[in-house]
Amino acid sequence: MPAWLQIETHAGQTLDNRGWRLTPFAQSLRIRWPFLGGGLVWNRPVSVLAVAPDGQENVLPVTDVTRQIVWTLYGLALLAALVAGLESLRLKRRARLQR
Amino acid sequence: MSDKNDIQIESFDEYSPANANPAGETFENIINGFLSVADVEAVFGAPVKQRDTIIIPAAEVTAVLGFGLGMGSDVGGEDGKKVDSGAGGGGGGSSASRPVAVIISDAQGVRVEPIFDLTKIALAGVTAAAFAFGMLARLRNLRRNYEAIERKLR
Repeated sequence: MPAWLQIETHAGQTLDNRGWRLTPFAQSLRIRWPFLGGGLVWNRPVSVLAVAPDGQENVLPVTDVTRQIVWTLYGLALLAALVAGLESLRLKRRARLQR
Repeated sequence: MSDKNDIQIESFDEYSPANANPAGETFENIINGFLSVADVEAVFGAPVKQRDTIIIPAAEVTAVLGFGLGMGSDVGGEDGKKVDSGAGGGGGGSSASRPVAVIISDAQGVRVEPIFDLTKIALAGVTAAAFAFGMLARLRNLRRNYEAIERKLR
């Protein structure tokens, strides 16, 4: 991985409740601007490790539903643009052939 | 005891580089604040406990920082010596946090409940719909123009 990019997964503090042990995990992405000072940090929750009183371990993923919906909407808009672009190309080709 | 050992320093803070350069201290504080965003504590909030239920809020945290420094000098005069010099810098940044989910631990077990940011979804929906309608309207106009040309050619 290049020095300007860092991806790390961190474990949070473990909590106990009713015999369950919860350990949250977060993933951070750090980007340092190559030719400038500063950078970008994106930190998001990834999962929770839940250990049941009987010792059974469950990993519960933390899903960002908002982000999924937003990117789906942007994807649909791009798809519409792609369809429109292909259709306009087809029309232009047809017009060129008729001339 | 030698004279050297008799020297007493009241406080080391007085001699710290940060005191010597207040801008350096500010800069260090900004960098430390920026890097603290990457800590796991920034993502998972303090647990809220009510009776036997624990709720842990989870959020996405983003921070952007940028800065630059520059210096220069003007060499001139008859003897070619430096006559003027200057230095400056600037920067800016922002950080944002958005709730993503809550982790609930109660009598039923542990579960993760997602949080819907309706404002963000609505804004993205309006933007995407406007973009798609714009593209489709442009396509419709294009089709009409070509149909008109075709009619003329016939």
